[in-house]
Amino acid sequence: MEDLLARYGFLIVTILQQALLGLSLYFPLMTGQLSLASIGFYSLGGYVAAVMGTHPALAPLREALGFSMYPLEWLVALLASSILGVVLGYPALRLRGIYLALATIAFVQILGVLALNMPITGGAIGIFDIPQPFESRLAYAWFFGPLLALTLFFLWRLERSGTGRLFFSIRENELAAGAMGVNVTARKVQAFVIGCALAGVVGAMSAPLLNTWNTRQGTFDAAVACLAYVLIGGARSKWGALLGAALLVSLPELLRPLKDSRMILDGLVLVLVCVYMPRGIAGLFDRRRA
Amino acid sequence: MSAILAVESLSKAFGGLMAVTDVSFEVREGEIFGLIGPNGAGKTTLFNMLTGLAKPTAGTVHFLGQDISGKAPAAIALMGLARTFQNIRLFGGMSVLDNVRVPRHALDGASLWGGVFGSASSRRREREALAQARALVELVGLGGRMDTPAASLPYGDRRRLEIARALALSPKVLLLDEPAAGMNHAEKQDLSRFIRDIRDRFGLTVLLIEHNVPMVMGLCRSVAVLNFGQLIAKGEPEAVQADPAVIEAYLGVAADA
Repeated sequence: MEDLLARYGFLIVTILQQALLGLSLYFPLMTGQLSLASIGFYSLGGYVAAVMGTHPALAPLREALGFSMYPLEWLVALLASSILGVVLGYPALRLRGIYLALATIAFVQILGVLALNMPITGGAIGIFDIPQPFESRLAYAWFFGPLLALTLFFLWRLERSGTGRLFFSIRENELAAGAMGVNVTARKVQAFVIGCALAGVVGAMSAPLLNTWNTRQGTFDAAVACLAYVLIGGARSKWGALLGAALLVSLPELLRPLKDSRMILDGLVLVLVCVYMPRGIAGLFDRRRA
Repeated sequence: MSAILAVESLSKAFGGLMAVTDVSFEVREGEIFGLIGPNGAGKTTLFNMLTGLAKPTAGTVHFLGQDISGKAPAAIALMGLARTFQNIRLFGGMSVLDNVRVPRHALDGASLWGGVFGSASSRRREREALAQARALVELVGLGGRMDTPAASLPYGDRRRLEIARALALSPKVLLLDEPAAGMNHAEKQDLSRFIRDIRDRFGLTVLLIEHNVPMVMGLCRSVAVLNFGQLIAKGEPEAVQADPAVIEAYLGVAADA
């Protein structure tokens, strides 16, 4: 058992982490908005934690706080992501569909270029030797696990609240929602910013896990991977992001014995899900309930 | 009785096409006002301008004495001008009850944190919204289908649900865009009764788009007739019915005229 956990510890933690990133996409999707900005906020949160964890000027603070430095990093990442989320959200959410996706991808690219060229982010090399609170990688489940539980609880409550119903009304029919008094733009921004804040905190938790943080953490590929979790798992259910992340993160590992041909099978699974389960894995459960 | 809704010289052009040209009329508080006209006369475009979904090219709309012609749809709705849609626009994936709850939440400005953490005021507002929505769903006769997804309702029920949802805004003026479309004679009579009933019960003013001339004549004290975007007649139904311009619009001109 211990052997198994040691071997798959990183996989388990990665599934939790990626599921959280997938969920950060689900918040704007509640209002029907496809945003790929999450990975940018993930990258931002990671840099916040990396700088706070390594910058020499902050050494006294780190010494004074000890382990509490990590929650402080999450909090700063949360605030920074929320503020940037509002600033980006108001103009970007005037766009719809594919244009919003494009604008958010552009945002991710801009952040990447900034990180490459600013001294504080360490340029192309990035930031090294980020302090690690745990020896084993599996222990990071103590970071991501509670955050995932908290996020699911938040979503469970949100979906049953008036705000959740307003979000869904925009997804179901934006024009009718406006005609029924729903402040469409403000509610879209609200949903978007929750997603940004979550992605920022996930980034701040991931910096110690990876020990090093650079621009490779916020690439287009990573953004598309998050999108794939939601599409494969199901874009209309909070369980979709979870299932999608679990499947897509573990699939390459499970198929490892197949060597290079596993990539073919990996791709095949994606295509089959898209063709035969247009509402994702979670959509299968939905149909039975209805 | 004063004018609760005043439309003045309202025009809408889509490129070179004038969908609505220089239309003016007033709707008095408490009346049921009929807007009739052949297909493509600009009735729905006029409704869209009243509710902020289309910006007028020229002219103004005054609602409760306030110029609303530049306002966003949500702001107009919250002022108490609610509508239904000709091509039904429900929140298809949501339950019947939730469809009607949405305008209540929009009115009480549902708070994100209050809702998630269950603050006392949020819980109270949730309870009120639920009770009011339930009552409205019962009123339109869908009490047995509260939890049915709106998209899986039969056509007639969807029309009724749209009316319940519009009523949830506690409107002062209700705009109904062809509420009787696809109904048979008996159903139309039921609907006429229902419209009078909700007018009295909620103190509404109703503005109604309808093709069916007998229904409009039976229900409305004043009507306006649109043809090719122009107001060709307005006044009491009997007078309008006898108007040569109206007869021409509906029946055409005799060959020897």
